[in-house]
This record gives sequence, structure tokens and C-alpha cells, in this order.
Amino acid sequence: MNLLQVIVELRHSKPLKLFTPYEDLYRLLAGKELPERQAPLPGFELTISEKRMRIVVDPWHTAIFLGDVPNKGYCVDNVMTVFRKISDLVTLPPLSRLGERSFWVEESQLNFNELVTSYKTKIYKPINIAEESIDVGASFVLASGEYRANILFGPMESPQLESVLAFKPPKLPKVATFVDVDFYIKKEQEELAERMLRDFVNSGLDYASEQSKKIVSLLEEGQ
Amino acid sequence: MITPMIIPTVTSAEDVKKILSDSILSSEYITFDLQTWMPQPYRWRSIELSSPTTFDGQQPVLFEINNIDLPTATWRWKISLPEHPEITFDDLRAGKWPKPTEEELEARGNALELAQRVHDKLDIRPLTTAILIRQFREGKEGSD
Repeated sequence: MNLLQVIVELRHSKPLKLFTPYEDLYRLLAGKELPERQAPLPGFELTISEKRMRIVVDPWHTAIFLGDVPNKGYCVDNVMTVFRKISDLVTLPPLSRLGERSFWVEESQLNFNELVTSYKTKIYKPINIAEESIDVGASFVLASGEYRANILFGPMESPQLESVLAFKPPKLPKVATFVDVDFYIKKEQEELAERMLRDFVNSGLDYASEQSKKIVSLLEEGQ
Repeated sequence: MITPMIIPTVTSAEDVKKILSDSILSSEYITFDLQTWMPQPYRWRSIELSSPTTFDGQQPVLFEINNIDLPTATWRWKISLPEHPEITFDDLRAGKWPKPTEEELEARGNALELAQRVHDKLDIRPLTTAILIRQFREGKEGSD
């Protein structure tokens, strides 16, 4: 399976201090909370075109988008470096959710219609609606210990594949199986620790890679 | 592939507001984000209420640069293989080793052949514990 893109998102339980300066100043000087809640300042989004990377820091979440992931080490390395840099500037508030979403593709030797037929045979029972369908997709919610994973997969042709990607890779297969794995964990106001983030990014990619391989091998059985 | 879309998640408590506050007619209503009010077809959603992992910020200020100097391993380690100039550190990290050239294969073959000749000439045998003990006890190299 080829890894096309990865998003690592930290969702915070409180807004980042960087975006609430008026409330903080008011609290500091007046000794009480602002009588009316102010809308936080707008977030920040930086696109690094050559690296096909995007960094988003806004009041409620901090995210890194990698549109080019040559390997797992590259992903972990970049994610950790960026979060370390952001943490140097501002203390990240406790987490409410930690998520890693990855897109995987496996080129198919079949044409699109044949691949759809293969899905119908392997994934669905031969009921009317499945038999008559000209396109299919599947969605499953899986649990792995305290983690959850939303897995979506289906056949895609290159134009559709291109439309779901933020940065177009140099080469895309004409027909492929597309797998979208959103691996996440909900937290109760948990402080962010570097080790925790590193382990999460590693295990998220391992899990997604394993599930994607299972899906593809299921589809390839008997072909 | 048919892509199920996710409905915006349940609004938080702070989105519950009062209409006509302090009046007998007052009632609570829930604010939804703009997306919900747009005419859209029915969207499927999973039983999991957590909204998906995303990098979409809330109306962020956008900036763009060409490149960034991140102190990552990729940046620190530069690989230079004269026979394979196209190979990068990330290729090696991903386990993508270059295919050996014909010269390399030939050199490898020659090295193996030379090693075999040296081995035969010197009669090198593995130094096992039993041989070592025998050597110490008898003060000479033993034979199996």
C-alpha cells in the first residue's frame, strides 16, 4: 500500500492562550473574567509548498498535514519537530482528542467496473441493491483497545482520487483501492507529553498500514 | 467510491442560546454552523459522534512559503552514494535500497571468491567453546 497523506490533529479542551490575549489581559488586570465571552482570534495556517506540508494552529486545535510521506520515520520526525517548535512558543492546553488520519492506495490491475464487481462479491451479500450498484464504498468503526478507528474504503479512479487529496502527488494510479483510516482517541483533559504523541503517531500508522493491507489482501483473494 | 459525508457534530452547550431573553416568550434554541443551513442532500454519519481528524482551521489567516528548515533527521543526514546519486536518506529509511550495478555485482563476486580462497588456504574453522577449552587444557589447537 502506498501512503498518500497523513493528518495529525491535537484537539484541545481549552483554547490556546495565543488566541485569547484580551481575556487573559482582562483577567490579569481586572482580577475577574470578562463579562462577555470574546470570540477567539482567527487561527493560523501555513502551507509549505515544496514539502507539501500544512501546519494549522487555531484556538481549539493544532494540526499537521503531510502530503508527501515517503516513510513512517519521516512522518514521526516531522510531526514531532513541528509540535516541539509550537510548544516552545505556547503551552499546548490539555487534550480532548488525538487523531491521525491517513490515506492509502493500492493500484489495481482491474478496470473500475471490474474492481466494483470485486468489491460487491467480497464485501457484500448478493442482495438487489448491491447487485445493481455501479459504485460502492464501505465504512466501518473499529476499536483497538482504548483507540477507535473510522475506516472508509472503496474503488476510485484517478480524478476522484485527485479530488480527495490536498496536494497532487507526481503520479496517481488510474484505478485503485482507496483506504481512509482515522485512528483516534478521546482524552479527558490530558496533558500532552512528547512520548505519548510519538507513540500515538507510530501506532496510528502501524494500525492503518495493517488494516489497509488486510483490506487489499481480502480483495485480491481468488483474483 | 461513494463517500459518506459526516454531519457536523452536536453543538456544545455554549451554542444553546436564549431567544427573547427575560421574557415570558423566551425559549432556548440551538445554533448550528453555516454548513448545516446550506441546502444539502442527506448525509450519512457514523454512530461515532467524534468529528473526523482534520486540518481545517476555523477561518484561519493563510500564509505560504516555499520551504522550511526543520531540524529533522532528513535534513541532518545527507546520503551520498556515487553509484546511486538519486538515493536519499528517506529512501534508505523506507527500506528502498538501490539495485546493485553490474560493476558492484562483479566486485561482490570477486570479493566472495577471494574470501573463499583465503578460507581454504588458512583452514579457518569456527572457534567454538569446545575448541577453546581444549586449546587451554592442552595448550594447542585441538581438532574435532
